[in-house]
Amino acid sequence: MDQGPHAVSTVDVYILTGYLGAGKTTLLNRLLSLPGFTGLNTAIIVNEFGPAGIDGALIDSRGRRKIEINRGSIFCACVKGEFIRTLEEIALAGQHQAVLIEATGLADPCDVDDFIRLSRTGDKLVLRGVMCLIDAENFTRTAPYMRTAVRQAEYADALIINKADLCLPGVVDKLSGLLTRMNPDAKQVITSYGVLPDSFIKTLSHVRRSGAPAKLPPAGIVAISLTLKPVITRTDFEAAVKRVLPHLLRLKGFPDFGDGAVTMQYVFETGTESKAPEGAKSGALTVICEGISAASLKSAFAEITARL
Amino acid sequence: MTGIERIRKTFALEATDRVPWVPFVGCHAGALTGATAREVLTSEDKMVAAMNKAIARYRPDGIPVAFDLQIEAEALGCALVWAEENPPSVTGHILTEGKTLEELAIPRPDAGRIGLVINATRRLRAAHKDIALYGLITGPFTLALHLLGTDIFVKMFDEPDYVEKLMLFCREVCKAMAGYYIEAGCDIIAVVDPMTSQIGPEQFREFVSAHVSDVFASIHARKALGSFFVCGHAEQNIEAMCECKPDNISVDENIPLDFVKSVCLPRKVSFGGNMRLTSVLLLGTPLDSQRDAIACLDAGGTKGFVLSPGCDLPYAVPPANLDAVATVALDEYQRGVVKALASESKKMELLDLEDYGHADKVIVDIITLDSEACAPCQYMVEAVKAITPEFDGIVVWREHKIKQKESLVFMTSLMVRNVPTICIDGEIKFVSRIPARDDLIAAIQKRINEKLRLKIRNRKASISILGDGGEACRNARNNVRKAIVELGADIPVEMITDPKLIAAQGFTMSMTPAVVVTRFQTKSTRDVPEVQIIKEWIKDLMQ
Repeated sequence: MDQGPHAVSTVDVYILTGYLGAGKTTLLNRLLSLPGFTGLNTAIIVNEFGPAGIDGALIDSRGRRKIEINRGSIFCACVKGEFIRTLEEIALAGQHQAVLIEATGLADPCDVDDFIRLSRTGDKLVLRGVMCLIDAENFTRTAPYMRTAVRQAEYADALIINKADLCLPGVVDKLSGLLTRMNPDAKQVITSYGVLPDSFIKTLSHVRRSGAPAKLPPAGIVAISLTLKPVITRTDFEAAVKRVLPHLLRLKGFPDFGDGAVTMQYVFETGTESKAPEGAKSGALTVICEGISAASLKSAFAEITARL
Repeated sequence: MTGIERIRKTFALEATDRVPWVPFVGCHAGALTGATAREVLTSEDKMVAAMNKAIARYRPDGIPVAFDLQIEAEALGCALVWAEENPPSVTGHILTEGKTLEELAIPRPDAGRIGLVINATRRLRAAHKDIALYGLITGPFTLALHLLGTDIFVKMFDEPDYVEKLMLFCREVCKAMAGYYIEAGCDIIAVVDPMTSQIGPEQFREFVSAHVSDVFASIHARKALGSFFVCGHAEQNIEAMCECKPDNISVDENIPLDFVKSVCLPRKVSFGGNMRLTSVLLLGTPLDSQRDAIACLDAGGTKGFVLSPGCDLPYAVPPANLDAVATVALDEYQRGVVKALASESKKMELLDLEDYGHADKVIVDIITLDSEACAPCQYMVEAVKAITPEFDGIVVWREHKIKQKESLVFMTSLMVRNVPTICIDGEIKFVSRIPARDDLIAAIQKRINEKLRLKIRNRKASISILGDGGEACRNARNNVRKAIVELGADIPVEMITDPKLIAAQGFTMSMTPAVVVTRFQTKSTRDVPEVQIIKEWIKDLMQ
């Protein structure tokens, strides 16, 4: 923040993106209690309304101003205008030294950068960092189905891998490796219950990225669903999985190895077999991989896939 | 060609007289009538009044009746949160609040606000026979998200069967809604499914394709047309979207139009879009909006393309921006004007026009777009030519055709935005209309008078020749005039022959011809100056 005698007083802008099913409020509150925000008048723009929000006590005692944008509509450009107006007001009012924009959910990261560019007070607003929340438990399960969540991870300056405690040992490492391939420049912080190191905000720095993510090969993270042959051998199944193992993120299905359907699940390279639930669709299989194309993935399983 | 005909032909990839213009006016219509977004979306009368206003003002070929993707979810029991300037948002995802999929039933036409939209459709249909009415329905994937929330993303991996069942239900809702709106008079059903931009083509084909195809098939069976709307980065799915057999695909600014064209046209699907909502339509000027519209028209081409904004127009879009877009959408000539302006204006140095108004003549500039090709321009020129003889010697007219670079500079300098335009001594007087002869004469006369007044006010000195007016006096006067002209000075010359006046100035006739130079200095205007102050002036004079 520039505070020289002739400097225009600027406002530091932080953006929080990412998809986090639960635990967001806790993390947000913890973030706000870090050095870098404490001692400053921070405005918070949140995109959710309703009961789950910022801790009320925190707001009162530290004089922070919480601005809710009616953004529940998870669509496109509808609320850009509102965000931009809010940023302008904050910049012009000059009462806040920092703004934290909570843009989690399905906000496209390029859009968020636009807000600053399009606001007429752009020179007063300094983008200090884009932080992306990664739900360690769910990221690989949902990545193929939430493209903007993936784009957010690719675009961020820092990745906060939360809920590490809910993952098996080794899984977080693998996830960290995946994220590094997606976004080599971002710093990573692994956390549980949103606990972050004190230096986190102070060591954050923003790197301008162009709109299109470029780190992963074009295939990115892909998911395919297929129906297995009515009965297959364990050997054939394991052979198919082995073909894609270095790329495997998740697998879930109900193969029948001769004794009725069982549940097979993989998280990265670790597979577990368990009983199939009542009414499970025998032969259904979904595989999520990164770094190979859907076509290659399908052909890896072709031998055990049912003919239509 | 009526608006409906134009759109039908465009959807069928047939030739039309021009590209159809379809502004997606939803809650923005409220801004035209002083109603909030909420009012316009919850009151049939306000909705109809607002849409009538929008239709009259923006002259569309087609328009949506209501742009609100929460109607079905609300009718099914989802809680909404309302806003002044946005459509509402779903806050309660009923399938996470205890309701089961099996308990859900297709909403009837009287559920929630469905009836409101049906009635509004009927009234608008009756009032506007020539334009296409779009009935907007929430696409099945987006509706599924309203009902289940973001849990759906986990379930797509963990419980794909459940998601399939949910999609099946949602598609039946879509078909019912389409039926209601078609029956009420809609020509086109737009299936709006923005959430599909979250998934890739693999998942689109797995979870969405079959259902949306079924919806479009049912729309066609009812003899209506179908459009597939998507927002966001959905380029990866355009091909799969075409496979669902809509008549038209509409995209926003995140997907380049030429890409959409290259995928859609070979698959015999028309396409539309994609003016920038925030950076241009909301925050830009009318000229910016026109430029963006023209860029879309250039990319979209003349066959199978519908000009529209990328999505639902924000409430606060300045109506002037949409007026400006309508102007270029409907009028080829206006497009030419904007194009000519757009290409050069940034690089020009502006002329220095300061001295412009000071010449002895009144200059009439006519700025035209190459008058041989443009009828209104020609008439403007004729009008000015015709009256110039009236002001013989005082009025000079010049034409500036803006196909020439210097003219563009001129135009930009004078801040002329429309052609043809007449400027008198650098001031815009008549824009885009040919003035009646008397009006033009009056305007020029007015300027001449102004100039004279200015002259008098600016006068700093005068020269008088005092005498009997005979040869010596005349020679003196000629010399004075010559001196003035050679110096380029602006000083009036007066001959005073009245003996009383000459005597009053302290001269006898034997002293003439006398040349007297008088300097003026205005000391005060408007106020009554104090005696003390006037004494000071007099002391200055006496020095």
